[in-house]
Amino acid sequence: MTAYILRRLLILPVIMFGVTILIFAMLMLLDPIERATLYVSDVPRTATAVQKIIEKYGLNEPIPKQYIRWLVGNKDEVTGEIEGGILRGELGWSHTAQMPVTEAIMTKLPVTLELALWSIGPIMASGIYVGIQAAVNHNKFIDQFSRVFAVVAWSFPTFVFALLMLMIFYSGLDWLPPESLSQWAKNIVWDPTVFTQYTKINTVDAILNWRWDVFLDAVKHLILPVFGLSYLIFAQVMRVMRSSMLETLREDYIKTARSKGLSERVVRNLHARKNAMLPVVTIGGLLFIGLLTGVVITETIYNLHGLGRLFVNSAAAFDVVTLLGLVLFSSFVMVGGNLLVDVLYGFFDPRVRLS
Amino acid sequence: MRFKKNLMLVLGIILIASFILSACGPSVPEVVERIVKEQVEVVITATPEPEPEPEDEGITDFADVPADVLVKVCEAVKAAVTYDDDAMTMTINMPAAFGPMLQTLANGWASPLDQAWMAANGGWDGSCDNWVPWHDPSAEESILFDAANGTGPFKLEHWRHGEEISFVANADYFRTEPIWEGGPSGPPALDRYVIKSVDEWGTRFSMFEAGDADFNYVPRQYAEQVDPMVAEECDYVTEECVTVNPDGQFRLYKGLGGVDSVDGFFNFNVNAEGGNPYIGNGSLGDGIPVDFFSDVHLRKAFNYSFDWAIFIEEGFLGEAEQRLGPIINPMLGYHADDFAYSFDPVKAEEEFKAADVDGDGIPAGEDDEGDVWTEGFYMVLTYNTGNDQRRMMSEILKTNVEALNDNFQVEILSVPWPTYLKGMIAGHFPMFWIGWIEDYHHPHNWVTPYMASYGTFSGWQNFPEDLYAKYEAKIDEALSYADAAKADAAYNELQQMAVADAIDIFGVQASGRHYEPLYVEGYYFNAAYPDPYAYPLSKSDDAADPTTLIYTTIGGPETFDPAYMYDSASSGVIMQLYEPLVMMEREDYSSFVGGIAESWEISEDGTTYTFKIRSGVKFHNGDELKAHDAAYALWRGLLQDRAGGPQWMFWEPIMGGIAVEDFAIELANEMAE
Repeated sequence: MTAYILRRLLILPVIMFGVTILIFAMLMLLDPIERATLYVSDVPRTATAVQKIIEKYGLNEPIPKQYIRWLVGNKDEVTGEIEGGILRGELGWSHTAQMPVTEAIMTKLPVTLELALWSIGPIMASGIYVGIQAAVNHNKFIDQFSRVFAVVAWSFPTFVFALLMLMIFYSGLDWLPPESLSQWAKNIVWDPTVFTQYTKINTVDAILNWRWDVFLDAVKHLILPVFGLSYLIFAQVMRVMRSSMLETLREDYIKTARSKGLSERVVRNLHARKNAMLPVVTIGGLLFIGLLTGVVITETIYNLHGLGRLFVNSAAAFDVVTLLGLVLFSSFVMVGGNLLVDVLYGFFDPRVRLS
Repeated sequence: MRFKKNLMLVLGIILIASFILSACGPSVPEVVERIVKEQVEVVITATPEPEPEPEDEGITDFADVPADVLVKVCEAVKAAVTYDDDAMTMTINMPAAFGPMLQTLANGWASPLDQAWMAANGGWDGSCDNWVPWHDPSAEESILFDAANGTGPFKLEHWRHGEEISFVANADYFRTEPIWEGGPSGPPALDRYVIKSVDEWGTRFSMFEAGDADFNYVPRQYAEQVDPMVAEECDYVTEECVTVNPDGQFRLYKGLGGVDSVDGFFNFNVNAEGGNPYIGNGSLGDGIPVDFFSDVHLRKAFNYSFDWAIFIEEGFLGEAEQRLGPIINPMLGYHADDFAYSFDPVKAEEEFKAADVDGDGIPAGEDDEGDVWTEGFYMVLTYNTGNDQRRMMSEILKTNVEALNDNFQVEILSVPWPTYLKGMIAGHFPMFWIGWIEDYHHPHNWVTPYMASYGTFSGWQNFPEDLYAKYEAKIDEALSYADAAKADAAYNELQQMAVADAIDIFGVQASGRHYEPLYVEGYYFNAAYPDPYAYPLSKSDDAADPTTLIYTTIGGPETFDPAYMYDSASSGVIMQLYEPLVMMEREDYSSFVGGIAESWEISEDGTTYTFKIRSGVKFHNGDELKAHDAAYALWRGLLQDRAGGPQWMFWEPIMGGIAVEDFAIELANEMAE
């Protein structure tokens, strides 16, 4: 298994290299004037403005030279120092986020991570539980209900659902507000003299700072986005779990277990459930990876400043440097996440040997 | 299979090794860089035929300007802007009179900076020996990118990029007398002012409705969602209000003057090099020739085909007025009774028939050999994706032009903004829609971009040389007049020329709206400062948080550096943090009130401006403002001058140029000669 994991890790840079080449090449198909719009706040006011920007940022230089500059950095003509360069560990300056790309990822990731962590638990637990119940009670009320719910959930666009929830529970009832924290809580959290941001995950930091008022405020702000995100994904997990469980319950070894006189509860929980979990593990891993690389609609509606919005904004602005940094990050998450799923696969099914 | 695996392994190891080695020192990247540079140079230099020796043009690159010339550039800037700390005066000496000088200074770009604090924090210290490292920075390279030490009514608390900016009241704010009658004085009434970036309208609306936002950016297309909640409608000048809904929660100000426009621009000579899909096959019938719009009759025909009434009603809820030329209302040169085109299909047809696209001297309506009226045409009308106003303008024009003749075909195409900008700059579009927001409130800032060869939009329209010459001579003449009546007449002539020549479809000038909860007091509107000015604002005690005002809007500022900023969001931040030399009066934009300057004198020939700087004003860090701080801000701005930045507005009048780099190159070549 160690060799397998090592090999997968060694492939990571190759994947990253390939993905950045692909993204870079696609963006370079755009004209230098089109890429210069990133640096122009509005319509360029003087005739030479765009040309000067193109020259300043080297947007008209040969494509390999621009890529290499991103890789190895650029020598400052005044100081002589080399600035930037991915191989020097610097991902460059994000024009979209107005901070270094690394800092942007580190700032936005906790917002997305908090959302993902709070979502994935309820999604998986409830999806698996309801899926099993639906399978065990095949064609009974709970099964029929779960099927109808799944269809309805899939048919309800996240954008509309999230907005409606906001209108009802915030505008109407004033219970659950958008954003990550209330203004009073932000003033506390962002004041380093009274609050330490250990992880930048509000709920975790609130506990570590022993600020239960901030914790409750953060939870209150998380309810809507977590719910908005979960209802759709929950339906997906539940459907997969149900199908897998149904299939497993028809296996011969389950009949054997029953014929041995084992109780239905033991058969279900000890013999069937673990095997039926395999597809759910796969889908769960992919879902979590998806959550980590950003959920644009939820972040936009609830005004959460996470990775999803950064991805969209930088793509809309043709912010090459930010996009490349984010792509590197998501490649890393994708490979790491898949590796974790593979390892978990081995745990759930001992017949699977990673080699 | 095994070979592939091994190959992947080797590649992975190489990349990881280079990454680890690079962390130990710069040698690996430098080696890679050198190799690549060599390769790139080989590729670049491997041209098949040697090029002829270029003529010696002297210095053409700013990087080649000698150090002694750079010192002289700085000295020239300092000679143009002088100060006297004892007398507390700052003087601007210009080569020629420049009417809009005060308007330019009123916009914050030259707000005084604490020279000592700047130097201590890594900024330029004001010495002429070392200004170049601070020249043409990227936004983040300026020390004022996200820090501020101004003299304005608010201090910076924090900036969470892309999320929110928070200001706290400056208890030492210098004003002891109201800026205008009944206006505020002393420290701000609010303890805190917060600008939040909330991109999604539905979220912004919910926050506004719930009382978590006090000011809210309401795009016009969403106004109808807020209107049912309006309790009273008020006039911002008289401050008289009329109750419209006793159960409402908001106050609405309508008819707020606008200083922007949206217009249609004809390209007189389309660039078809390498093919151009926007003009079809380039001939009448299935396309248009490149010089299609050089025919004034066609430009007039298109003007008569545009329906302003529908556009104003549907695009602006009736809250806009048709423009009468490049100059907006109210301004020198704007006369409300001037001629304007109106939607008139009969006249549009007459103009199409009077056109002579094939240049045979026979009007199209009588040309048996075929011209635009009989052959018809096809062209593509573009707008940038997401801009509903420009889409609407395109649709109105298409509908009305195509209704005139079955052979007329206008296709509408939406393209992303970068592609749109490229199309305009490269001259690919036969016609384009674009809007202008004034930099400073003066007709010079309207006629130049619309009529001069060096103007932003007119430069892309490829007018004939004689037309540019005619306009530029009149622009120079208008600018030279110190007398308001003469200037008004000259600018009005330009206004009428632009309409008579039908160089554009002059669109509309919209008026704005402002919504606020009933508990907010002191709203101040000045069209020259479109973003909220928080200083006069307060909240009544029945508000949930009476000392904090939250403004939700879209986007965010590019910088906090007054000399760098060139976007309205940055301007909205800087007006809270800094105090300009002068401010424009609310109702009369040609009049000014003192900011940091308590008074000013203009020499008879209009070339020297002397400002008396207030005494006892303190920067946010407690340093006392001196006259040299006001001069330093202008020197720094002029020398910092960045690509695409605002400093051309000071270079033009103060130094008689357009950019520091061009000035330095010119000076270097002059000295070399």
